[in-house]
Amino acid sequence: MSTILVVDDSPTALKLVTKTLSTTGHHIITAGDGEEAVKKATAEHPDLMVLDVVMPHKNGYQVCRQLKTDAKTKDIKIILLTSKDQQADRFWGMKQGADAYLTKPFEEAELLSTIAKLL
Amino acid sequence: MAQFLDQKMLTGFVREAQSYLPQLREGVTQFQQDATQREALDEALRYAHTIKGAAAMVCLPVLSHLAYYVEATLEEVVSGQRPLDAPCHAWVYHVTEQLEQYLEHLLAGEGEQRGLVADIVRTFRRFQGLPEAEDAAAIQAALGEELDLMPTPDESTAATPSEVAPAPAVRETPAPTEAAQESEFAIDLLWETVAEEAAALAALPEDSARTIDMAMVSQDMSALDLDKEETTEVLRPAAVTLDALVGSIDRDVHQVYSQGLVPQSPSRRLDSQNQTERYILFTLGESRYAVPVPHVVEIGRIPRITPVPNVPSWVRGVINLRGEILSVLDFRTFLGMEDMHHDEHSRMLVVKTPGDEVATSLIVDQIMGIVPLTTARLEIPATSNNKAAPYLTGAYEHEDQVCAVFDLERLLLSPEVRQFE
Repeated sequence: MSTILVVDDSPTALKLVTKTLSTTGHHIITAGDGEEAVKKATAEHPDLMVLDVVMPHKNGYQVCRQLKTDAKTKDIKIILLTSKDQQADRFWGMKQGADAYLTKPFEEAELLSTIAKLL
Repeated sequence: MAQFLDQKMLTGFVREAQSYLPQLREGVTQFQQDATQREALDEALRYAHTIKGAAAMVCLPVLSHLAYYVEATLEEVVSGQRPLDAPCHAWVYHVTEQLEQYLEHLLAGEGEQRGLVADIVRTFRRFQGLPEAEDAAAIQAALGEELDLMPTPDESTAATPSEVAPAPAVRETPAPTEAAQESEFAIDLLWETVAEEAAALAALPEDSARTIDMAMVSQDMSALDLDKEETTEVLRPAAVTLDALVGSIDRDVHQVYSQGLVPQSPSRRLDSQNQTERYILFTLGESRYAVPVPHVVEIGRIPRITPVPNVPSWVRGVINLRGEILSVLDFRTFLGMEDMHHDEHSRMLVVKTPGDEVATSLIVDQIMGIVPLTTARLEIPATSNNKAAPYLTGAYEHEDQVCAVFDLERLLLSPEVRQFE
């Protein structure tokens, strides 16, 4: 069983993603903004993160860049899950070191298969 | 994604969105009253974005579409492409109040709300200066996204995203390979980008910059080599002849000379014999600056910028320039000058130095022309912008005015810029 950290500032989005992942049997933890995400990622070292981009305090790009440049956290797989759906957004996201980039509204099967591939 | 709305989830979402809208208005008002309150504006944009994203996730595409109008407008303000003036402020107020009504009706079980949606679409189109003749189609398109997903009494308590078995897929053709799907997706993205560019160019006044841009768009479309039905339609504004291009450049050159920006004096013609380096001369506020021509890849109008959240205000975002993604830096804001929205004179300089892997786009107030700087090199004026000083190589006198020259390599490779590229 792996640990997955789901990060989103929207309680609705957080609930929907968590509910989708609850079927996987993985241990799910959550964070509501970028700063909390960095703290939890550092303290609990999840295997994978599903990370929103537009959030208060620290955005998903910044969180991703920070974790991927830190030797202690760089092995955490990161899926950016955002409604920023332009090609430029995708490029910028992958440039921060993300392992995958998915857009909202997400396809349940696509999210689950991406997670399965990365874990 | 969820196939049916869970009533509990819907109520939770509506309450969440209702809590954001007054804060969104507050942020916009704060920024309008004090332009240094950039964080308040960023926060307002974040609320609009969150409503758009969450609405899409709970299967409310119409609401997501309407929230996008607010997000797109605020993105234009954030990226400096639109001032937050009284009409803009009034429109944001009006539409967010209408969204509050929409949410109330949604809780009351009134699904479609055609009248309200039509009103929001119309006011958005008038605000954007879009033609009334196309309102009906735009309203239809907005409403057409609404799916019949309101819960029936049975579904509202039973159905959840994970519990709904997906309908078996009906495939009439063999499934494409993953690589083929990716390739098709990439081509579609490119096509959309190029088509958008062509449409935007068609709306601009005719000059040589537009003509050259159109020629490039035309080339991009040819390179895509697509058998798209809409090819002819999209290419029409981009179709240019060589004669038209030359004629257009001639007119611009004549205009520049007649304004005396680049005098055709004999001494200028001698400059090349003296192997003088040529510079692109531009203005930022009242000051003139220059960068060496070899470092400038392209000069053009400012395209649609995709803002990047939580970065300094001088990072306007990223753009897609014919398939290449570039960071856009607002030179004026970077140098600590007053933040102003761009106007018809604003241009982007696409620059790339030998040490750079990718090009960068710099927004400047106005391009004055290409000039050889041959007169005696001056000391950098003491009054020169303090923020610019570390990146200047010197100053020259040109047309009785001092012109400071940027060392682009030093600027673009500086840690301050590098971290956001």
